[in-house]
Amino acid sequence: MTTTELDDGTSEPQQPVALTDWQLGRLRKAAGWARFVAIGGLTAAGLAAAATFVFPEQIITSDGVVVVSQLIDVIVFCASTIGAAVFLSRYGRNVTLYLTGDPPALTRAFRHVRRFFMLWTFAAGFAALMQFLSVWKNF
Amino acid sequence: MAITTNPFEPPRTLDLDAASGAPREPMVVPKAALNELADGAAWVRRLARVTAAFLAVDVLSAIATLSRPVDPMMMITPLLGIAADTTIAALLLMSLRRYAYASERIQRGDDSAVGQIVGAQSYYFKVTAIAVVLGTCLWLWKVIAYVVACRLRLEHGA
Repeated sequence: MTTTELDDGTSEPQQPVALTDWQLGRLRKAAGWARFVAIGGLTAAGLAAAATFVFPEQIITSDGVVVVSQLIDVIVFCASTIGAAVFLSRYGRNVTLYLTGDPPALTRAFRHVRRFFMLWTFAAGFAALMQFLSVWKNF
Repeated sequence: MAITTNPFEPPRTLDLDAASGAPREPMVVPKAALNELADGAAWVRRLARVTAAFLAVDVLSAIATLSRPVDPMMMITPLLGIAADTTIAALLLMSLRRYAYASERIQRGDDSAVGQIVGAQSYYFKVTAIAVVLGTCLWLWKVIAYVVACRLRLEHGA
């Protein structure tokens, strides 16, 4: 239980926060969307990896030289998407557990969201950098 | 269970709904969960900055595409891609800023912001889901266009 500081320096116990029905509904929706993103992300990563093998000319030039930046792009995209999908599916599962009456599961769910944001910050930063280099090259 | 005249009568739906009459336990958010949300504030802020940078690069990319002297019909696909990217990035940025603001409120000790965070999470994942579907469709479209172009090249070569 947390405490709040009063004007006279003493503290009084703060009531634990309870979610309203509307907020619980939003949490349920968030878990559903997170699972959808996880499945969609895995599908996209699978398609990207498959396309690299089916159309190797996208990463290998006619002289047989592998375009390293393209290869790194595909590898980073697949790895970060798979990682994000794992965190998001765990978030969805733990929210469901919380909604069925397991309060500590919400802590685990929020931990997985935090890890997802950490991973996605690096992935999005890398994607922005690659796009910037591509624009710079074509200017 | 309600008393009935027939002892072999199956239970009524209301009899099985144990919670229908009794007050439900409030769904309390554990303190550790609030701490996780507060810890995540810095990363959400960083992701918001990276998303803003991505948005800026998208705008640069649009300028670069428009400045190229090519057939306007050839620009449709890249411009559609850039427009979709920019819209999605702007929506994600909006929800991330809302999320970061609510996380900062929790860091300051205002635990009631948890509802705002839950709303921001739901919105963020919904926009991300739309981005995943749009991105996959656009990417498939590019692959199909590539395969068709390869076939046409082979036919002309033969």
